[in-house]
Amino acid sequence: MSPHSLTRRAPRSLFSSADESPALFTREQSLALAQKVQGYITALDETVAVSSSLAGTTEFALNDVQHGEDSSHHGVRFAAQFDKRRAGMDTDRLDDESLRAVVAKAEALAQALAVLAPVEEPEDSLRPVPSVNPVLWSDNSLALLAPEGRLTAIDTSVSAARKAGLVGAGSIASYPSTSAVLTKAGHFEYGRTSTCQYALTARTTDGTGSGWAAWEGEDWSKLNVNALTERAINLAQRSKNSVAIEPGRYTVVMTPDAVGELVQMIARVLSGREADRGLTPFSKPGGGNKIGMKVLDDRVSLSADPMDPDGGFLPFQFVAGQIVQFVPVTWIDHGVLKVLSYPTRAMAAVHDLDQVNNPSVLRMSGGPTSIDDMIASTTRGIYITRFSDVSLVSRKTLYMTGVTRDGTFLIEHGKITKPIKNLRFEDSPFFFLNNLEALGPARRVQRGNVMPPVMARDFAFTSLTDAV
Amino acid sequence: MTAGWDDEGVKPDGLSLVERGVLVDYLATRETAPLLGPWYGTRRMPEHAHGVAATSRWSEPMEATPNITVEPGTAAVTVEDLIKDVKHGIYFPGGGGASADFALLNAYGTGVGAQEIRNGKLVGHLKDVAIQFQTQAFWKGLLAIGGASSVESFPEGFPALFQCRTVRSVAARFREVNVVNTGRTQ
Repeated sequence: MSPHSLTRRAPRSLFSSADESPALFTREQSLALAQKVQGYITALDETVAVSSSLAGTTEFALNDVQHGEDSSHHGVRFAAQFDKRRAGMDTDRLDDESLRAVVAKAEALAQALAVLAPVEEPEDSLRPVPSVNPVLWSDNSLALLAPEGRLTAIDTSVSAARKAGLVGAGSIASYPSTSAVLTKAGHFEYGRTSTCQYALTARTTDGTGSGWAAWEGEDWSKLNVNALTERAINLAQRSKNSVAIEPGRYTVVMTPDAVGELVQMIARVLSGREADRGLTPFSKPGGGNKIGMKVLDDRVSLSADPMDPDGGFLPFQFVAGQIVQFVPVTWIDHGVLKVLSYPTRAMAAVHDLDQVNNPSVLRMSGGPTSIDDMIASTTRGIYITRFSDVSLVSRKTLYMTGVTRDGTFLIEHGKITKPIKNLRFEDSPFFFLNNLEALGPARRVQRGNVMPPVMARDFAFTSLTDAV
Repeated sequence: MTAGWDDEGVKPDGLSLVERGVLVDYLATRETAPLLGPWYGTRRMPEHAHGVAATSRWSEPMEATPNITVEPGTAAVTVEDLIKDVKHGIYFPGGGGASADFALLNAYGTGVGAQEIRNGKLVGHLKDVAIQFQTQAFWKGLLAIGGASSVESFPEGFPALFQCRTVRSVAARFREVNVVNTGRTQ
């Protein structure tokens, strides 16, 4: 099945006053559509997913708007199963005739398949329908769907950048969407999200200073655009004419955004099967996995909860023809690995675990220390606004490399003393979260993650870059 | 050329970006060629879109890296020739990954199947090896370039499903490249 395809909105007449905005599916519409498709399916078992999404994005650069796009997608995905043969289809043609045709096509395909070993659990393993996190939706975010709404924010930022003699660039986007799933037995789930993102950079005209700030959330009214812009401007002004320092091991103070760039990679290695095969940091030397063992500093817990008050996620997804449900999970509790994700209950039971799915979103526990206090307690170290171009070098240790960006400063005797050139780092969350000095209050960062600022010692920088 | 025209309707003309070490052109599109007008003007070159624009599901046509070739040297130099007078070095047969900072100034490459060279001979495989370099210093450290027999092609693009362009390159020998141990475990 293909991932979402975007359908551009048809050209709109400038002379028409009619509101032609497509709407998202309501719960009732989603259920009715899913039931209609179900009615066409003759297979012994089936699961139908109905989704709708709108997207409004605008990008700006050189203090001017460069590109804007509005799009929508309304679609149905389903899997029809005969005995052990299953085939699925994905369509955005939602008229009765097209739906009938695509169902017939999928069923013909399923019946033509060779019989495969069953890969799915029986449907009765689905958990009861959980409630959907109310913070995932806010009507306040719909203002951004109109290009004018996005331009208002951009105008605020660009005006401030111009006034400061800087060059602003960035992107603003609103992605409201709905998802629903329905099984043959009538298990129905529906949820909606209204995620918005705003990220901007401000650069000095001589190209020696650059600052960045970003926000992501479901309620657009919670963003103070002026404050966000001021943060980027301030970093740009303070980071110009940076000086080189010798690469090496330094104490670092990292913002939640910087921490998120690195720690989110842990979500990629939460598979129990991979750990058991010796492929991840959670593999035990000599065989097996490290469940029950200390893997990080006592102060570090990593969890994921659909009901997280700072974001969360829908408690279900439709993946490869099946419903994947998410429950609250604490992967690492006060430094001890508690659970890994196995695909089936039987596999999890071998390890005396409940089966949990990995939503690929993480909350890292915070602490009481503010960034200012972290700086004040640093004799010599480096303040990192964010990382860029992070790539994984070793899956086994989560050893990764990347560069600092948009505001890297030297800390001396408790104060930020000068901007420094960007540095390439080579480190792993499994190294620096075992060299922990302090944690601050966690907040929402990008991609739904919630991360704290971190102060850690002996973070490894291996070379300098002139990139600004 | 693998396409009759690009996503702006321009016929790809094939172009040289670097000739004998000197930058001679850019991947200009119908949108960016006029912006390069002053640069072209000083070189008495016409503003010219090269047919390298591509659209994606997310964007209007913009410049995209086409198939790229690093041309072989004129001499018949083989990979073995490049290795044979290295006293102590590392041979990277390719197949690793590469990444660079956002200005492509500081780059990093991991080596799958890297082998140690001692007195002109490959003496065994190495693990946990990566290289890191400043791109300009890297090219200044170029010692020798292979001939046509050393050319290899590999697909580029991410994810693998969308690998739709090819990089063809000769083998080459560089001096004084930082070698990094990626085997740290704590």
